[in-house]
Amino acid sequence: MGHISSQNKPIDKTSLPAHLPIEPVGIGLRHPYYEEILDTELNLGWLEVHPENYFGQGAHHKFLKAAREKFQLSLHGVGLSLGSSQAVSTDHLSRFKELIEEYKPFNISDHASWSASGNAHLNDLLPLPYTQETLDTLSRNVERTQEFLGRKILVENPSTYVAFEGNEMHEDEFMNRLAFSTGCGILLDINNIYVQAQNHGFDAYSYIDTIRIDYVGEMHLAGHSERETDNGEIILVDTHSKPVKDDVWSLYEHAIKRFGAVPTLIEWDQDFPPLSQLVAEADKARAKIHKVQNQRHAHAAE
Amino acid sequence: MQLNDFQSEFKELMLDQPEACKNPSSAMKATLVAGKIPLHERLDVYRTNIVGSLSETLKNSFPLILGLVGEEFMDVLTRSYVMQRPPKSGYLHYYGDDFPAFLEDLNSAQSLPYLPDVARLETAMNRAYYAAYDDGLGAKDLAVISPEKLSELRLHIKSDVQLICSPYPLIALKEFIDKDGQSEPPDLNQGGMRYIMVSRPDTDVLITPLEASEHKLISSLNTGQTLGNALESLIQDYEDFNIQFFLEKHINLVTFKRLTTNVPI
Repeated sequence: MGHISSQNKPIDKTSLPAHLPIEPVGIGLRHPYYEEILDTELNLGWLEVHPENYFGQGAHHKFLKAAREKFQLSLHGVGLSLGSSQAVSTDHLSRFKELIEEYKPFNISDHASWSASGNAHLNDLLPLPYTQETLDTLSRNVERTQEFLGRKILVENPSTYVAFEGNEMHEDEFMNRLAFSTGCGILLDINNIYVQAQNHGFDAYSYIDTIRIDYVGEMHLAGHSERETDNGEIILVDTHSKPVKDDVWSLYEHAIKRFGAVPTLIEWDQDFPPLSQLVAEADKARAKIHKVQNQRHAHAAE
Repeated sequence: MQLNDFQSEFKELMLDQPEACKNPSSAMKATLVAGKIPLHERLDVYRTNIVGSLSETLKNSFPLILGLVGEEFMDVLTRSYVMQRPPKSGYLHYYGDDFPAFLEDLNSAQSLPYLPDVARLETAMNRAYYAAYDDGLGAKDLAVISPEKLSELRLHIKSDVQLICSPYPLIALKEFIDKDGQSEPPDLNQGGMRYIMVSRPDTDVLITPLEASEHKLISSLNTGQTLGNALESLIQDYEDFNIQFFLEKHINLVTFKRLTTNVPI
């Protein structure tokens, strides 16, 4: 496999790339918001759900069906365990495919992480060493997934709390290589880049500048928490339980300049705020996109 | 370490006692970067996420057990369950299905002998909620069958319908916990068997008390016996059994699957 050069030079585009849906910012459809999202007129482009929460039948499907009539949908997997040394579960893929056929999402995705080992499936996105062995393993599982589902998937960069002595490449290059070898897209989680840059000590801006522009099909924003260690150090934990931090907003602005008005999700998965607060975060993301677009138009008009 | 070995050892570490993160193997220590933040603190973020989120899933699936034992003991129960019986799939609808069996084996819960049956009720409610939607047997389906052919009917319960029997007053216990202990506590030593049907006729899960005779007839029908044969053996124990009333009640409750085989008319 050839080395993929990073594209560090500033982009020269007067218009931003077009993406579906037309309104770029979405939020997660979660249980506490079911009724309010259906009953209120909201300026949102789309909704996201974890497909795993809809693998069984039940009343929650009625809400998802009604929500799908109002909004476009992104199915964001958390259970494929694409980075496991074992093959992706056929049962999981079949259930995922049924949902894709029923709900017709504009994006489908999961993570560059693992959860399953042997007969146990740990309910978390666990870290991978960035080696050729991992790249081959992950690529095999991504290819099998895309073949089974009959469409391209996006793979998200994770938040991690440990790093590996044996890394053969940095994560940004690993993600580029994965997309190059499998044809998958990258779901770029801006908060995850920030969290890892703090936890492992690297430059978040350089990470974004290294990711190939045409690979990015969706971006995520979320709030993280700080956890203090016994020796007084801070670990950032990707808890999806707080507003997006200012530093992450700045990083997002940098990302919009590079990748354009890519569909962006505000993630919030515990300690749920009122829906209005979540919508306000979405408004803030949209304002950032408009700001970058206006700057670009002004620049082009000069 | 090869990827497969790393994942296997990391998994064992996550499902071990909390102290294990403080003493990872030398191979694991050589694999992971420590740096300013000690390795055990980094590992503990993952362990906290995994055990914490799965324990939370169980608390949400078993609110009655939580109500009976309290937050502190529930935490001990769920954490130990997670470590012994982690999920086997990437979706959690049925996680906790063998929580009743786990409670039965547990010495520390033996002073509360009704816990496994309460957990069985909650497992049944969970299964009913997530079950596939089957077409139900309606009055029209029966109306087209000539009376003399009714005895040849074979009726099966819908996927959402679950039958439970217990020597404990589970329904009264549920009401007691749902009302935060504001009502009179039920007498747990009344004795006698109680029968319950859990179902999801539409969107909500329903708990219906059954007579012993009803429970027996539904169970026999579900093994594939014809209505005639099942009734014949039932009448020997319950000579006053009213089949008309039974069919009307279970058409209303949508207990049985719609007939798919060719029924003689």
